[in-house]
Amino acid sequence: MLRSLWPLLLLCVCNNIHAQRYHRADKEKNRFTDSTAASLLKEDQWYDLPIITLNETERTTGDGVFVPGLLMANRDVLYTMAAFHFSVKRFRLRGYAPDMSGAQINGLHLNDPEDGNPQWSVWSGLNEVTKNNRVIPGTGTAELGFTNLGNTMLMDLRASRQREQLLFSTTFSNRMFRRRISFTRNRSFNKKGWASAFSVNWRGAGESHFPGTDQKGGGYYFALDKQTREGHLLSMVILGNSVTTARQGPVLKESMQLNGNAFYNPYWGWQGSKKRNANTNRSHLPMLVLSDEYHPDNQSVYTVSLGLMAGRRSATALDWYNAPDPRPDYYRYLPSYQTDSLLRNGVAEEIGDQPSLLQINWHRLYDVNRNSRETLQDADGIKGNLFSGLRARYLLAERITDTWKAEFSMGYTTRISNLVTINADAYLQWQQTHRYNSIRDLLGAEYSVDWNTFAENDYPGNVNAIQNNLHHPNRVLREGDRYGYDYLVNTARAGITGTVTASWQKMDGFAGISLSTTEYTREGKMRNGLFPFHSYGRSATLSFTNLSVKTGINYKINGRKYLYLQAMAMSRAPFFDNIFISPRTRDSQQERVTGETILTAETGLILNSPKLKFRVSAYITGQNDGMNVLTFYHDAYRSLVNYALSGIDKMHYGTELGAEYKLTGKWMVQLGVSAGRYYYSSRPAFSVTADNDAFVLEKGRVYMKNFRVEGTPQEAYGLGLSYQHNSSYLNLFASYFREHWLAFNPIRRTYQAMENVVEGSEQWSRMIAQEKLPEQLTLDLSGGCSFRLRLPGSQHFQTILLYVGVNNLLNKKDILSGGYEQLRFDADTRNVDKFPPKYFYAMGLNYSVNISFRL
Amino acid sequence: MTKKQQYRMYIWSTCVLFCLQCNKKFDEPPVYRGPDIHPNRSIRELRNRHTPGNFEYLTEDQVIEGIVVADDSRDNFYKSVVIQDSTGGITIRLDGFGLYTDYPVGRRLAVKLKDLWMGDYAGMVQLGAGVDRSVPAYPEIRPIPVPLFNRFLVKKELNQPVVPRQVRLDELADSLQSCLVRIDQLEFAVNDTGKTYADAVNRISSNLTVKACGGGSAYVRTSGFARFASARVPRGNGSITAVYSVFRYDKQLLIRDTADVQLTGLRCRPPGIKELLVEDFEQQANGIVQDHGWKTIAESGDQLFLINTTQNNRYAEISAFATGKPVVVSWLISPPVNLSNSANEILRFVTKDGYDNGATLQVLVSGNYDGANTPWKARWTPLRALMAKGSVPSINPGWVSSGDISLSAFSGTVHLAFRYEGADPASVFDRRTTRFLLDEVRVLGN
Repeated sequence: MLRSLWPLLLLCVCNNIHAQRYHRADKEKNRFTDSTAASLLKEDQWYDLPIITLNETERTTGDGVFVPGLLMANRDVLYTMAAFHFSVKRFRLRGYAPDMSGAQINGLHLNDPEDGNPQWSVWSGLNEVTKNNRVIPGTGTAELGFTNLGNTMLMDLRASRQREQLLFSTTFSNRMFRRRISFTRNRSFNKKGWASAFSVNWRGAGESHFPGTDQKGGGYYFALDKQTREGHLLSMVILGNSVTTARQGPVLKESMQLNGNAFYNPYWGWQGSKKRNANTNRSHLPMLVLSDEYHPDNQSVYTVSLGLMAGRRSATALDWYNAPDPRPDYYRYLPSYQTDSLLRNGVAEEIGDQPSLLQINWHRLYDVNRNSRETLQDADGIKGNLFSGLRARYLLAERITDTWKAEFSMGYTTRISNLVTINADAYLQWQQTHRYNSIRDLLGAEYSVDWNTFAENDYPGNVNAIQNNLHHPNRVLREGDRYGYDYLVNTARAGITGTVTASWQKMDGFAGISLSTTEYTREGKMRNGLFPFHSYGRSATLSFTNLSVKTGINYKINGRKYLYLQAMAMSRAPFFDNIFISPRTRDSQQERVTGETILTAETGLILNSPKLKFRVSAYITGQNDGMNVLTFYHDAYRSLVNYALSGIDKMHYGTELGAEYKLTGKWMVQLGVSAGRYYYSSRPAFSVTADNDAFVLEKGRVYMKNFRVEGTPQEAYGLGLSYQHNSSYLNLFASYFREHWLAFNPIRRTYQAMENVVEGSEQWSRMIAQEKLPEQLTLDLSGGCSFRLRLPGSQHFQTILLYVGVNNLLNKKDILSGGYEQLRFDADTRNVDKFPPKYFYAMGLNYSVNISFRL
Repeated sequence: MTKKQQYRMYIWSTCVLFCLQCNKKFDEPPVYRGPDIHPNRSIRELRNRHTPGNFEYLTEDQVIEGIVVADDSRDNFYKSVVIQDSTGGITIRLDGFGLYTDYPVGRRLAVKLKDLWMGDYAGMVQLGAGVDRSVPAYPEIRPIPVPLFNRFLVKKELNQPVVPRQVRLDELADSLQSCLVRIDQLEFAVNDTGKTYADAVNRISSNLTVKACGGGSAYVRTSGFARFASARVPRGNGSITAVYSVFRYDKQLLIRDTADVQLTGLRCRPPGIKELLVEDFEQQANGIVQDHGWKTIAESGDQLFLINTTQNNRYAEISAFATGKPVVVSWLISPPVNLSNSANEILRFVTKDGYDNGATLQVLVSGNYDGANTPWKARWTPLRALMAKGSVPSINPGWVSSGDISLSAFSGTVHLAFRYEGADPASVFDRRTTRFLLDEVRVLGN
């Protein structure tokens, strides 16, 4: 159980909001030949504007972070390795994107219907209670219903299903947080049929493994069950997890070298004597679950659940107006930007002498804001109204997503004969998310104005185009005010599933069907000056109906050997963010909106004997007609663009092997292999739209067939050796990773980008080659013991549990856990090194020590 | 533990948990105070070390100090700031944007010269961090990279007084390079009046000529990226405050904002010539003409001359269009002009026409008009003037000059009158509703 704490906490989904800059390209330098050119007036003026792109780092941090946790019930050797040891490389089983996995609490779906990802932050801190889970593979047996394609974690949080205990636990670590304290009290049914469970935890206490990062948070959980005489089990569960994470940013190789090691974080800077992080995520999504389980007889069970969730997620980032980029790793601030070798060395030396140049200079931001008195004409849209004050050149923005979710689900399972079990589920889900930008901190200034800085440059003098909200022009903004964008996403989903399972002496079989419908509507709360007729109010509702089927057979060679064969065909609705090209400003959609179709088949052999646990399987999955929208600064158009991709096909196939062999009564070895090949198997169509005017600038195909699916090593090997004696154990584990590819930038792989490049030249291959991350070997060590004692004056025995885990025993500091090519690409020079890739590094030696008292 | 104690414990642990959750607000850092560093060289001493066309590498631990007189806040100065002390000014090239956020006008700035380079671009002396010899024939100073700003530049007090030097146009010399100067009695050359400072649409810079009444000229140079590039230059005469710059032999004035151009007075007069009547309508209120002794009278058709504004230019205009009156006759009459104390008087004005379908505008002069509202009772002599005509589809884009109309045949006090004659009857074919615009009325004499 204690081991289950870490993998989940290590992982963090980050709403990665990346500011990018906007600029004018350097034109041909005017020399003396132009008699009117004075060098200080060169025409190549640049603008330095903040851009919010969701996609830049989301491409890698959004995925790869969910690995369903510990499999207590059906412990698979390979899945356990994936959860504990492979997460250092953000390993994903079968290379599936996180929207392929699932999570459920008492039958309620925890995947966000807008992007498909499990909302792990809802429950992630509550390890003492969420350990009561089962992980079921999507294609596998249908007894528990029809789930997503990948693995789904089913959590049962009802009070009566928790282990009865009084547990106090404390953890010391150097990972995401330094200290964790928890208290849990669970009671099983009393004479009146009531059971209760209670758990709280707190985590925090200072800087995490990476400089400037930390995680503070707390979780709470309360559950009450009532067993009635009529066979009903009525349950109520309240849970919540509030967490604040000061984030680690992706790192350029160059800044890492300047810093001297990989533990560099561009997101923080000194403010006074404190390290302040500009990119902080907050999340608190409390949830209430009411459910009833009813057994009318021994053969059948009805379940009904109602879930309500309401809360907020947010992410802060620096924003700026008419001021230089405040981010310390902006490419113009790095030595590589200097073309002159002396200046390049000079800049590198200066950064060496002044390491603070690699961090955010908060003091400067305050100084600039304190000297920015400006008078705004026609303030708040009132003609002649003047507003004077310190106008923020820099501010800390907070991009907020408020979520309201309700789900009603019901299920029925019955054995209609000794052989056949049928199961039927239905659910109804409604979610409204409210997304808007607000001012977290004015950094010493007094106000800001709700203007679109891009439009200000593109449409000089146009007083309407610059308004983010025509209903409130020239709005004077203070801390806490909404600005920039403000819209709602309404999602409704309903589904029914039915499965049938049959088992004979030599053979089991199952089949399942699922039908669902999904609806999305965007509702704008601001009338944007650039798109006055497409920004405000409700968009047309998009509706999708999808069907999925699966079937499989299980051949029992003998009681310990099974051979199985499964297949699944699935169609699913596209996700909101891949349909709407720029939902912040308008309701435009991709030209061709299609659902995705997924076909998968799997076969395997399972062996369970007292000495050997063994599973080998092979799978193949084809995923067709995916869509995506990337938003970034396009150098050729000198504008922020929305890059809509459609027709993305993927092919995943490979083999998995997990084996555990008892050498003697005390020694045991484990072996795990996940070797796959995950390819993009189509040439998706792209369509480029300028963010500021909605014209389609260009269309074409991305030549990315047989490019590798990024974000996970495609091959992972694990070898463990365990020693167990009585109630203590020690485990040494080695992992080896191969074929880990970097997320690539599609615009470099288009005809347009390659047009004037000589085929086969070095430039040619540099532009199209996909980078492979180095192979990696890591070692982990863990051990634990428990002993019972009786405290003086106590009638009961108390148990003390001790666990120590050390990961990355070799203290490797150059492990790349992921990365991406920047979407920005200099189309003039085609120099791929101008905006080089950014990487995430894994932790060096990291440990966790846990002591628990079970009273 | 009793039940009560247990519940209390749950509540307490929940409360403690939430208290630990509270986020404290970050302390605001103190206001910036720069280090104490004092200059040991004047800007003039530094500039004196420069040999034209040469690049000097500065090796000594010397410091100059000046007050920023121009920054990039309005984007007319690009990747540079200009500092000035009592002895002179110099331009510092900096490889960044939004420099005004750190180096705004009025900030005292010390520059540590060691390891900087000084050179000139077409005669304009600059400081920078290196020399770009990528085109060997035209080496050029490299701007200081952003990470090195604090190595060379020391920010000191803000909001220091910025006082331009008062000079005459003919005093502009290389010793005033990069100095903020104020020059009086300047006006834009006639061909450049009405133009914009630069081409903001195509982002093209432009040089506009300014002239002094006493002779001499220079360029006002403005970047196409300047935020005021699309503003129109004023037509009057007055003072310009600007940073003096040279491009080879060209003298250039770089303004920081349009507020630096205060040309509100009357334009220069050649010597010996008297202005007996000057009216450009700029000081008159929009609406019916009534200021400065001018009056407008409707003889028939109830139509009056109006003051109107287009592109910041005011003028008088009239049209019979949409009046529905079969006869429209209207007068615009000048204040009295005394021709007694001058000789060789001439009259000049400019006109535009629009939607021309045959209405006429005449200019008349009278010696016996009594100023009453019945001008048709006085005796008027028509004058031969060139009037705009023939612009059918729209308003003529350019003004048509009347030519110099001699008034030497008249003496004493006279009135000038512009008489419009048109018609807007029911029949389309009989309509004469041409619109006339009138401006720049002058009577000059020796």
